[in-house]
Amino acid sequence: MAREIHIQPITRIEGHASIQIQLDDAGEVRDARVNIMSLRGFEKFVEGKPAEEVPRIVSRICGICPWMHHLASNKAVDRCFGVTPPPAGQMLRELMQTIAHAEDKLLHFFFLAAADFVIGPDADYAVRNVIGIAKANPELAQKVVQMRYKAKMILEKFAGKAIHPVAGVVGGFAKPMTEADRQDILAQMRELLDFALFTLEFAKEKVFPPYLDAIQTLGVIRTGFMGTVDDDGALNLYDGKIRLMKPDGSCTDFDAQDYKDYLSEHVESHSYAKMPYAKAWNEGFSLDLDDPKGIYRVNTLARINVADKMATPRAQAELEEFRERFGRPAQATLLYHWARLIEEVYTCEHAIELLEDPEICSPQIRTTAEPKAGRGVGCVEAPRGTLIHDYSTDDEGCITRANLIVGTTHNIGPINMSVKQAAQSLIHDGKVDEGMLNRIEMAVRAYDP
Amino acid sequence: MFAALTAAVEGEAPELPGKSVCDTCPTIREGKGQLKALRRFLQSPHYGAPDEPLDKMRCFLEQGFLCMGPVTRAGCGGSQITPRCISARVPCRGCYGPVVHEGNQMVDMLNALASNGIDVHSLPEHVSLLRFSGAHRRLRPKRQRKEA
Repeated sequence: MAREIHIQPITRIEGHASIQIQLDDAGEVRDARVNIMSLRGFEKFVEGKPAEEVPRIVSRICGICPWMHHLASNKAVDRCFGVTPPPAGQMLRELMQTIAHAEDKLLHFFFLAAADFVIGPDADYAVRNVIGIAKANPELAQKVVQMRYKAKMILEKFAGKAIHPVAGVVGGFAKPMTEADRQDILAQMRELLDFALFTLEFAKEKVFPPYLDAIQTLGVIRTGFMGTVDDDGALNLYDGKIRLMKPDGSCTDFDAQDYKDYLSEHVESHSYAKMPYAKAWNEGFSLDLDDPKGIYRVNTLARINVADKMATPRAQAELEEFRERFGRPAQATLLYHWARLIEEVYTCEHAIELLEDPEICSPQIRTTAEPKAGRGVGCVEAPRGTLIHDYSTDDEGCITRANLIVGTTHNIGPINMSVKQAAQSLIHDGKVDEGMLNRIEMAVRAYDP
Repeated sequence: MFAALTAAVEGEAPELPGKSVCDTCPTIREGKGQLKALRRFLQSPHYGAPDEPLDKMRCFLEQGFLCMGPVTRAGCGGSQITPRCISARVPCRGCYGPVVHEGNQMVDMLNALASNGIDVHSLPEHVSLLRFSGAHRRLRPKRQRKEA
């Protein structure tokens, strides 16, 4: 008998979504998809607002990564008004973003993802969660909470607000860093780096090994990738060129200002979220598992794949080991977790690099701006992928049009593909159990949507 | 926050501070100045060295920058802590809601500016002054303009 299976809501993800799996008469998966039914409306209600106010409006888009929206927005407004922040202003923005990344990755790995691996995908859902982990390993859980708290409190103590930040301003940053702040944050980031290195070792020794077979099969699809790199081809989260990689590994680099020449957005009737695709490949859009068209992925695995190297030594060593084992580009969806922990090491190392440069304490942190008509694209790498804010302003410097492509949006198509792949390989003869359904959710969780 | 939770558990309405953000703001106010117009937050406010404490910086409004402190309820930084945005040297935008019960932050702010002789038309727009409150009974479909 044909029937439909719903997983609603998908748990342990940051957003809201549900999964719909259709079985045919033989009990095989005919189709599966992810429905996203939240509508935000920010593109519309920033219209008419003074552009300099927008960075503190769009920070409300997401409570998990408000810094990313805040900074992408500031970069877009800088462009509209034609101002360039002084070096220390850029560094402070980048430092805040980097620390926010460090905190976010700990949140995802330990609080959202780890239970599937540590407690096991078939365990009762009552213990397959962060509380279950805390009971199984109270010492580690305590350390995780402390470390995440530390990162959040650096942001709050220095920038006033960790959530819904306001310290990024058009032309730079609002608050200069004192030498005492610098030394204090530096010491804390060194502790966080130690913990990042510990986490990656712990994951490589204790978390991933029993799942190496699952990693090679669950939710695996073949797509292109996109991320941001600097002039040397090294992964960069704050600024650089966007690199679009085809499934065969060939790359094109472009300036974020020209994103519309390379990307386009496809609309499906079952989801409010649009599905961006690589227009520049001239092959159209298709989510066909055997022959996808125009599909690329973003977020940690994508960034690790498109980057030629990591800019910091320990993260680079980890990347080399990763590439030796899994190749480039690595396609296995569960490797997002591994890539995330490599990025965690990078963010801590990079924050330390920024803090070791005394220039960050310069009082020159903001360039005065004048409102004017213009267009600007602001782009940063959010934890969940390449984040694009595109604004146009009128002569008064008020927003006339806004287009936002949020990190996870790029991954909506690929998430649908991974879910279908997982469902097709797990469900046969109409037999479904909770462990199977949780494994399908795991294919979604890897993307950290 | 803890006090609010305790009150909720005991089935009582939490007691909110009756003060405004300005009442808890450490910046210097010298009283009514010669200010006639506001300027947009497109440049740094005046302050001294990076480590100069906030109680040596002049009030944002007196420097001519819109700050919603006068009409916004205090408490965002916790008790006896500097309001959060101010501590980043950024003016308040009112996220803690109106200081008076069921107040309208936009109307109250425009009143406060006008009664101090400040031209409210110097603001590029005023709708977003009502960013965090005032939606009660006001949400309705946008009126369609009739085709000529």
